[in-house]
Amino acid sequence: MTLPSGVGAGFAAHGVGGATDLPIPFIYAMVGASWALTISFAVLALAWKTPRFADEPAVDAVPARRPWLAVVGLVLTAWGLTALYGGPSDASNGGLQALYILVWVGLVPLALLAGHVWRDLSPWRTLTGQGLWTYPERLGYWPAAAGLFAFVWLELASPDPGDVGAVRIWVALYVVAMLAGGIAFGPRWFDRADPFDVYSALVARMSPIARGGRRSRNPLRGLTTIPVAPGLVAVIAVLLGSTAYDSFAASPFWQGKDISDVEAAAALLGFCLVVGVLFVAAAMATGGVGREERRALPGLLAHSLVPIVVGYVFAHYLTYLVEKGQSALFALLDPLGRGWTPLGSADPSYFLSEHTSTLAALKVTFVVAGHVVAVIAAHDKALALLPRAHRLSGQLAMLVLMVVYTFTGLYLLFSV
Amino acid sequence: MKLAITLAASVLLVAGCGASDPESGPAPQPSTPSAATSSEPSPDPAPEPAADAGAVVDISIRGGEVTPKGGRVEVEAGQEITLRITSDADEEIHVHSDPEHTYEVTAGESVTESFTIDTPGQVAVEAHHLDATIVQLVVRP
Repeated sequence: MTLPSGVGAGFAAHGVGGATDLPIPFIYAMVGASWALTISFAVLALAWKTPRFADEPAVDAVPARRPWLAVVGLVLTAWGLTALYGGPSDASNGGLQALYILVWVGLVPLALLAGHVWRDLSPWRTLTGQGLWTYPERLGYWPAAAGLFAFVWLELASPDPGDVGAVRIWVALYVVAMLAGGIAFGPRWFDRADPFDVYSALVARMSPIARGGRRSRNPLRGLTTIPVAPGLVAVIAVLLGSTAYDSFAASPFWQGKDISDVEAAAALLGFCLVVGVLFVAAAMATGGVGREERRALPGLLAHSLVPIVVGYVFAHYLTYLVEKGQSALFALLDPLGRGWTPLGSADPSYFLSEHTSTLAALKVTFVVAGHVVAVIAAHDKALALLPRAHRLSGQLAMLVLMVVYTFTGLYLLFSV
Repeated sequence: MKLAITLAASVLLVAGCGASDPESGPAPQPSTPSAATSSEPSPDPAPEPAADAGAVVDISIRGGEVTPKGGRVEVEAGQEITLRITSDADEEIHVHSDPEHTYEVTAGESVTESFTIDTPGQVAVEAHHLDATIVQLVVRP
């Protein structure tokens, strides 16, 4: 049992209350699962036998940040923070909606369509310098993994995700950590420790747009350029595990129980751990490699999970972004809760929710498309990494695991 | 040869995995409503024919427990939905549709409230002070 909380709080739906999607029809899930399974084994048996995408130069010479985007980033951040701290203390707060919907979910399509624009927009990069010390590289992505877990805990498992006070505290801690880390370690801090920056950077690697629109790139080649560092698997496990937990937490099974806050947090952590541990085990399950090589395999294959994350996030959050996003924009236009309606009254369109078959087909398509890209990426990398005698058998565990992830995702979409 | 064996083994493996999908055990089917959906006319004196009466959900809150809890109730978009609430404690019932509905219940009293939902989707009905989901309304087009 938890304490009574503020008006407008939503126990169920991601900190911002409101309706969620209908379950997809069983036949859609079955068709999606059949495609995923068939394509997976077709890739293993029939696809190319020499790596094709491994020759992408690993280190992009990073282009300079574009000043006009830095200005846009500062203005948007100032606007959002004004709404969060100066606006109403209930669920109508525009800053709260902007964080949960536009920042957290909007980040993914932005990175996919426009590349790592986040790096240019980031106000924390703009406000901090080149750093006083060198970032301790052995930390790798672990600070970002911790930050991402802190965010998904706030959104999905904290006592009251819709409580504006809690979000204000979370954002304040985040801003202090980003400014302090940026002053101390410079841009490297944001490449490795800013949860949103790292998330955007990962997704942007599978964008056809590279180097700020100055180049186009095959997403499969882009994926292989994700810098491998400690904690990379943890980052991806938190992203995938938390999205699955979000579905699971809305199931009648889970809602029928008395769940304490600690149990909810433990369940969320459990989902992330299961996703991560299974991935590490599957990546290592090959013959013909030495101990050191085996330990390196999960990191070297981690990029292949990113398309599964992106496909599932799109399927899970599409209506949330498109429909609740409209409310968030209207709320941002009235940051102080004074009743301002510069674009007329808020009247969101529910086109997607009203066309249930189209929506279900889109969701299955996203999941299966993500799965196919992931399987191809893993296959190509395995060809480059594994000794010749183990090229097929060494991929098998990873292929099976990806099918399990995708089946689980489809099952959650159809059953909850 | 080796490829054929590998493929056969993997198909068997995946078939096994599909059948015992890790998260598939616990969650019951969504179409099993644990709450009563009846076509009885509501107790209001409104002289409606029984066929037009919408879904009715009986909710009782007693000793810090709410029934039903977490089940699914199938309704149609635009159909009238009636909540009949009895409670032994002050409670606030939230209907998480757009726009939201909030109904106050005082201890020892019964409240009957009706509303409609026009957009397909799933709408949670929550007991706010208990922080529990009473039902999910599965609103079909």
